[in-house]
Amino acid sequence: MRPLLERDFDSSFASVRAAQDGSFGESWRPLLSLLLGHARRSGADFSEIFLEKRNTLRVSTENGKVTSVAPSFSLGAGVRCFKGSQDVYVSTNDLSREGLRWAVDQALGMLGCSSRMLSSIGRDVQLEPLRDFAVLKRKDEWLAACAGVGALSERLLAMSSSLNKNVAHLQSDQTSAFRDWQEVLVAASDGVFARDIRLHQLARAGVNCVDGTHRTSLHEQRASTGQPRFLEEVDLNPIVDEIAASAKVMLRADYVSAGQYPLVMANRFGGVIFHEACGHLLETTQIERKTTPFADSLGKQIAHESLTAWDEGVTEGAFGSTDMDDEGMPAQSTLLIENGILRNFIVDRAGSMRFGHPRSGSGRRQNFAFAPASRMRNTFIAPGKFTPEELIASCETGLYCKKMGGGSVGATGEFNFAVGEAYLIEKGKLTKPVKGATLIGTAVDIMKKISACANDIELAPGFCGSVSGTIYTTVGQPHLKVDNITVGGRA
Amino acid sequence: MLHTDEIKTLLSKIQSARPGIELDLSGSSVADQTVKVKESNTLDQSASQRTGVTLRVWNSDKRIGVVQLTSLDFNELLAAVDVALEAAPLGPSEDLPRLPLAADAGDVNSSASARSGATAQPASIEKMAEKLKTAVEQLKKFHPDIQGVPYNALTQRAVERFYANTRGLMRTQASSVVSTYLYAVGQAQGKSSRAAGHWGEEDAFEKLKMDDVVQVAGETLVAHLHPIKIPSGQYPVIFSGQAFLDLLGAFGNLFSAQNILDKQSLHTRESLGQTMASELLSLSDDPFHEWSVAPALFDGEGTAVRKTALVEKGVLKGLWHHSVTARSFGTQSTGHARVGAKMTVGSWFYNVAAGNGLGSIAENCIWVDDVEALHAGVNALQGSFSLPFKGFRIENGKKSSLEGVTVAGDILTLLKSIVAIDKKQERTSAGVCPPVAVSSLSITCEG
Repeated sequence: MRPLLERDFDSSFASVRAAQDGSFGESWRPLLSLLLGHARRSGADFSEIFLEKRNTLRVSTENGKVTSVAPSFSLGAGVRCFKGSQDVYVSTNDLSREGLRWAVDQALGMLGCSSRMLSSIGRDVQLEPLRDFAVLKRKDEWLAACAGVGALSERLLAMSSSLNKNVAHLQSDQTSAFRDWQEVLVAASDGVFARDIRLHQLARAGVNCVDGTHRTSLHEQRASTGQPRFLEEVDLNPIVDEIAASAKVMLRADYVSAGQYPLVMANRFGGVIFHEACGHLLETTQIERKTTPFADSLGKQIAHESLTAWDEGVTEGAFGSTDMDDEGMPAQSTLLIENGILRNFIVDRAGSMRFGHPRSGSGRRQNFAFAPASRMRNTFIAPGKFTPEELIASCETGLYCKKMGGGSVGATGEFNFAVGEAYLIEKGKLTKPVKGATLIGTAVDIMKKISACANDIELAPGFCGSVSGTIYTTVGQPHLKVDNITVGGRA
Repeated sequence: MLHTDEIKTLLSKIQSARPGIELDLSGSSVADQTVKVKESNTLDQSASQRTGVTLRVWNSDKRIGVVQLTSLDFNELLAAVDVALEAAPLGPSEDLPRLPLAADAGDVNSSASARSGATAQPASIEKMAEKLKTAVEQLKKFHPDIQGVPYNALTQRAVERFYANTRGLMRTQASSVVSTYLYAVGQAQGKSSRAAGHWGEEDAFEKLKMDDVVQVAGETLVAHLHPIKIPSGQYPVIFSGQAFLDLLGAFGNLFSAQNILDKQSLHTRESLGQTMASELLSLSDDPFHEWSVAPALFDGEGTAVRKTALVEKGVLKGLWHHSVTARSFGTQSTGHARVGAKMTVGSWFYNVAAGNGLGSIAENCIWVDDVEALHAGVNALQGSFSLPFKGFRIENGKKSSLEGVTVAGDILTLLKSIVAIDKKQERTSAGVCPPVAVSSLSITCEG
């Protein structure tokens, strides 16, 4: 028998009382169609049941020792019902017939529907043949093919050792790897019946360097979707090399002077600028809240004509890719902005029902505890015609943002994001490194100032927290130039 | 309500099925209901029932395996025990926690226990909706320039926490919390759109004063409707109690014994007893303060929660400990354990002591009401921050809202440059704290 932790965590779920045959699928059809029919008879216009099983493992090291092995298992369901313009959402850990019945009845009660007798015969909602996205790619084999604790520990300890050898003034180092395996089943009163398995994995390293009063902390990560052997096969050396190179220059970097700067932003995680400054404002949840300035801008110029941007869920292996969204819709590519003109929004089922925009396969959520909402997937700015060097050379003075941190956007379209590693541009060339910069502005303003894109697009994995929880996303862009932006720093 | 007898029986059955092991269980069952009012004036309602359990298993070599799951079902727990037993030899081998004993866990605060035990009857979803709808309408009418309340919610939550182990330590606690937030958007003629809000939290539905939340949210937004720009530069700064605690909370490694042991703190072991802040600053972790709603009675190891002095007159006096860090520092756990595959520590409820008043600095300063984007703009291990904020320029006593501003500095420098603390404490979501004045910080203003 193979050890559980080495290969097959899922066997631990064999005993889970409600998982019936151990996985989601056809065996759930009778109960789900019965419950959906019950909701319809009781007055709900539309109802949807989302089942989720999760199996995660995180291994961490600190300063050359394994400090944490963290397996976790969860089961849950979310029931969403609509009646007129109202909608409700109820979640539970209890996937038994009684537990799901409770959730449906709670939802109906909150909608003001009277709960009718739950018939024990007949399938009130005729669910479609199961669309099994897991079978299509043999995803049922993924979990067993993932690296076990022993292999992960070995790789992380090797990375820790390498950090120790290569990073100057190292005070502490942390490495970690996680895999997040998720099986979902969606059934809805319009007949949707779909199953998928998702697998997200990530390896990360961070360091804290100290030399006298000089301090810096840095981290790097690599991640994938749907590649079971990723953590065994990914080359971790670039993580160490990038951290070592950054630590060398950033430990003694001065703080950036506050002010207005022309900006060149690097590719990969530089894409967070579009994610925060514009992407969130194209989600239909923002239209519903009236917190986007772009609600009535379809077909209008909202950005510089050099800017074209996409949101999609189809790039193989990218962190934000999904074969189907959490509402059972297959993934798509969505052209958001074409040469500065707004072409499409990021639309979930509720957004489509309320505003008439076509669904884009963007209904996403962290887990069963959250109702799905329109969320980004892999979001990026398309490449342009320049080289990165040409963009830098076009700035007499300015700031080059090589590595970005996180950011956020507020209810009035004001965005901010942190810069992890930056360099001054003087006379068209990169000069000294600077730290502590925060970029601020408003979406409407900044989108018109992205005036040139280079030809070197790259994507980077990240996490996005919003109304339906924290989800896996990708940001990306080529090097790009912003004509002018406010840089918060030291005055 | 969780029955202690049932948990004891579960533990006993697991030990019978897997002889030679010790284990503990901690976690909670939560039932909550939330209503939100959409811009279309329709309701967004949700409810959930969730259980979260952390299972720790000690094998015969005293190595420990930890598994998290979402059920107290015997079969699922037994499967998790097997996973934990496999994880144990592969996990850490040093500085391992020991199974907590009742004799070391301390007595829970009896008055807080009585307070906590009186869980409130939940209100109906209809009552919740009515209360929130009324508040949203009131806020919309508070001022003609208020355009909407896009972010709002009213939540009631019943929580049952438990800790139990095979050596007989058993603790349970039931509590209820009702909370709300109202975040409105407004725009004055010719000015940019602004947003501001307020929150409220009580242990019973009837106690929640929505009128107060509406009043503060409305006043705050209206105060920001006519913002000005100022030159970037160094300014004296006053942080509201909320802003100061939000910033301090982002540098939690200052008080974490675990972070110090991991070399992931701005402090070291030797920092205890050293001056870390202006002598004006005294700070404690005060979980049973009268303004702390539904305080936890015990931590993740079952240790009784208690008040802990952190800073006295600028000197670092204490840290947050769990059992393992306490052993390393030669002291006792302070009841701050958060249990997982690796134990961590964290605050319960800050209490910054009142000072002698802000004095003349309050007449000419930058007032930081609310710091934003802490997740992005704080480098906790570097000690630096650069954060957007909502606030005001106060010039000769006249208050003008600012827009497009950031505040930047180093936390240790900031703490040493505190020049005044107000006489009156404010209630915040992280604790109680008066406004705190700092001699000088970098302020950047857009445009």
